[in-house]
Amino acid sequence: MISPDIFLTLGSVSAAAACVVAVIVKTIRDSKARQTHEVNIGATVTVERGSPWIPAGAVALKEYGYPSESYSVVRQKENRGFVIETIEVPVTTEVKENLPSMRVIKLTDGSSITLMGPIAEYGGYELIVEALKHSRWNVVPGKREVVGGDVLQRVAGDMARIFSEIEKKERGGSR
Amino acid sequence: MQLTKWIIFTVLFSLGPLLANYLVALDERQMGWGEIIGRGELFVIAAAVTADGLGRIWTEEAVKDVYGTVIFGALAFLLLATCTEFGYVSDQLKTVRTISPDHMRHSMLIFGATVVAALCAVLLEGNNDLS
Repeated sequence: MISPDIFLTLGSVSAAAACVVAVIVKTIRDSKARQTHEVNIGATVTVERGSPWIPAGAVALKEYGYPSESYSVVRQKENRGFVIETIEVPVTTEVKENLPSMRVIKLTDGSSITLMGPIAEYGGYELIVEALKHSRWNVVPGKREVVGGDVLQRVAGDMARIFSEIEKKERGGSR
Repeated sequence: MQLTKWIIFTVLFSLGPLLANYLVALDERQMGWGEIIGRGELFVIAAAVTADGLGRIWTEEAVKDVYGTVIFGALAFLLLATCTEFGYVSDQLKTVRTISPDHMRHSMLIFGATVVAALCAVLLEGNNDLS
């Protein structure tokens, strides 16, 4: 039979190893998540495939008259569900007049989302809000809706990617 | 920077009493590992380091996260292990002057594991602050 000493020592070493693994995995995941916050159209926008925000963005785009059929595959993943951040981040907008194709959405947590290109021209902020509405299938109706800055960043990233793809298609079609 | 501060102020300074013991008794007798950590001192220091790690990880943000939960669980186990082991060895000290070499080895291993786990808690705390 294993003695308590050996059990406690081996258990301690295993516990430390688990901590190391947890920190490594978290660091990798965080660095990946940070990449999804890039929202500049034309620049690299990386969004995890199957992200619940992509269908949300596609639904919102469809309502605004943009094609969303090409996203039907990812839209099937709607039932994956997600956790809504509960940090309250009121949003204010600021349109830079000298740069009409650029729109900065300032968040009260100090961060900001910069929308450039078509997503800004087509009213990116409204689309993001629309996307949020459509993606919140577990929100109680009538309850005050609050989201975290990172959620908005993620939505903006997904929306930007969708717009970028539409723009590419339109360019390709006009040639 | 945060890690360096933690290593210096928490880990190295907590080992200060052992260093003092070594320096004070250096002239009087031949000092060996048994004289320095032979009464389970490392278990006590490990418990303090673990408690520090637990305090750092004990935030709503960290504990609701799976990684924070893993580290919290690991630290809780380590605290249990250090306390239990110290309980065993302090009982032995009623009859012998120093604990067995096996227990000394265990104390070093557990102390090492504790430092690694608490270091992870510090890293996680830093990550959460950034986000």
